Amino acid sequence: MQGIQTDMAAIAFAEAGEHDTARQIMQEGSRKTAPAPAAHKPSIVTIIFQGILSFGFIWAVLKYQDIINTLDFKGQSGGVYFLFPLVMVAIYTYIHANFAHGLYDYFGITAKKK
Amino acid sequence: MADVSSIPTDINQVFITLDAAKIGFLFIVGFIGGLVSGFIGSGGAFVLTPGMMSMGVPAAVAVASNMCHKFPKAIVGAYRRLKYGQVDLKLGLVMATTAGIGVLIGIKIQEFIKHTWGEAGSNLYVSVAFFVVLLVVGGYVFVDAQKAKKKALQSGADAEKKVMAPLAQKLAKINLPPMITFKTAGIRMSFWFIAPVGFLTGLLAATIAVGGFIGVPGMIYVLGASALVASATELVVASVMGFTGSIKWAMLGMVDLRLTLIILMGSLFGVQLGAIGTTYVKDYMVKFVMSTIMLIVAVSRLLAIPEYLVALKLMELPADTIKVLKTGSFILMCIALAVGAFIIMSAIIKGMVQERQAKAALAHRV
Repeated sequence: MQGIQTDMAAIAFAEAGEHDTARQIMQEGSRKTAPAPAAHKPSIVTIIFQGILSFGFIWAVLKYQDIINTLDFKGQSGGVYFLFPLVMVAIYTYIHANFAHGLYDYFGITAKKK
Repeated sequence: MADVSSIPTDINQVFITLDAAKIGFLFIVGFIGGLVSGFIGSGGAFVLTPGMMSMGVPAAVAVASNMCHKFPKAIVGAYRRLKYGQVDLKLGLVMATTAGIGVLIGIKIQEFIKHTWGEAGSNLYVSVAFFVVLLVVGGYVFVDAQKAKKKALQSGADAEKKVMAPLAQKLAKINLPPMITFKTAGIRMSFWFIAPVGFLTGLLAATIAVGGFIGVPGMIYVLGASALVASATELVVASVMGFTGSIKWAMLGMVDLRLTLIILMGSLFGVQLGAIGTTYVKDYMVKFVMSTIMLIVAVSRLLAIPEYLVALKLMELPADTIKVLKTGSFILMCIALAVGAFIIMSAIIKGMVQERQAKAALAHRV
């Protein structure tokens, strides 16, 4: 809507012969309506949520370490128990890698744009 | 190196009691190891395994937990650097396949040495291999990094990136089928020249647990990849080897999930920062950091050799002297990692400040 108003104002000035003013209005309008950079910055709420999940995961593992150790050790008794530490590591990596990445992004620590 | 014969069978011998100091140590070493890994493609493992063992963790559990944290860290690092256009996936997978064969043969050699000369003989072999490889390769990479830096400063911009290593130039001209083209690395090379590099990477990984110290220089000087592409592609090799190794150790019940997750917590912060860092530095910086770490670790391993010579009754030394040498060796390893991390962090901060200044200057002109 604002774009149309800007265009109409510029046309009015152009018709009145004031081309410089029309050009100026168009330039300012385009600056105001230009889309924001496409940088995807996660919200602080998302980062805090991921952080709680990540630290909660570690807390739970340490709290129930006797059960965790038994399950780890059962890997040598055959069956699918060997998958337990691998699956846990995969889940934690997904949670914590996203948290760490989001945190760096939030503080502007990002890769150099070529 | 721990092997199957040294695996504890009692659960009480496997898992140690963790306190806040141990958790803090693992997190910090994990972060620094991750930072170095994300930047040069490998590193951290050589401090983590002895570090855990010094905490009372059995050798097999230390190797297993270290391996289990390595593969997800390498996957995350490879994924980030793939996004920056630095990973040659095809080269990584070919290297990983041939490295797998190297690992199997490396384990067989280890088993033979241990069977013939015992634990001390095996440790002596590992330390001598560590020292010789790191001194020769690290020294060569260091000299090359200095030359590349000089060239880059003289000609400005990124001129050193376009120069392929002389050996790689000669090998690329030999048409020995099957020839494989690697787009990201910008090379076309016979499989028969890639296979030995991958094989030696695996062999070294099975011997000293840091195959990247052969893999990255091999990709640079034998295959002709840039240091940035080589260090990023090494993360793919590490992911594949780490995953297969982790399955083996998990089936033996030796992975301590608590240790693995705490190290991973630090290293996932580090590896992403290291990967970001590569976008702010010139190619020679990767070589410089890598060679510095390799040379310090070489000295560290040199200090460890007398202990095994004494155990094999090839020389005599007082027990106190051996203890001092052993402690000095471990401290030097930590220093190697800390120096590497310091250079990387300085390069990142410098690069970021320069980029922000350039952006501000541009905005001011507009």
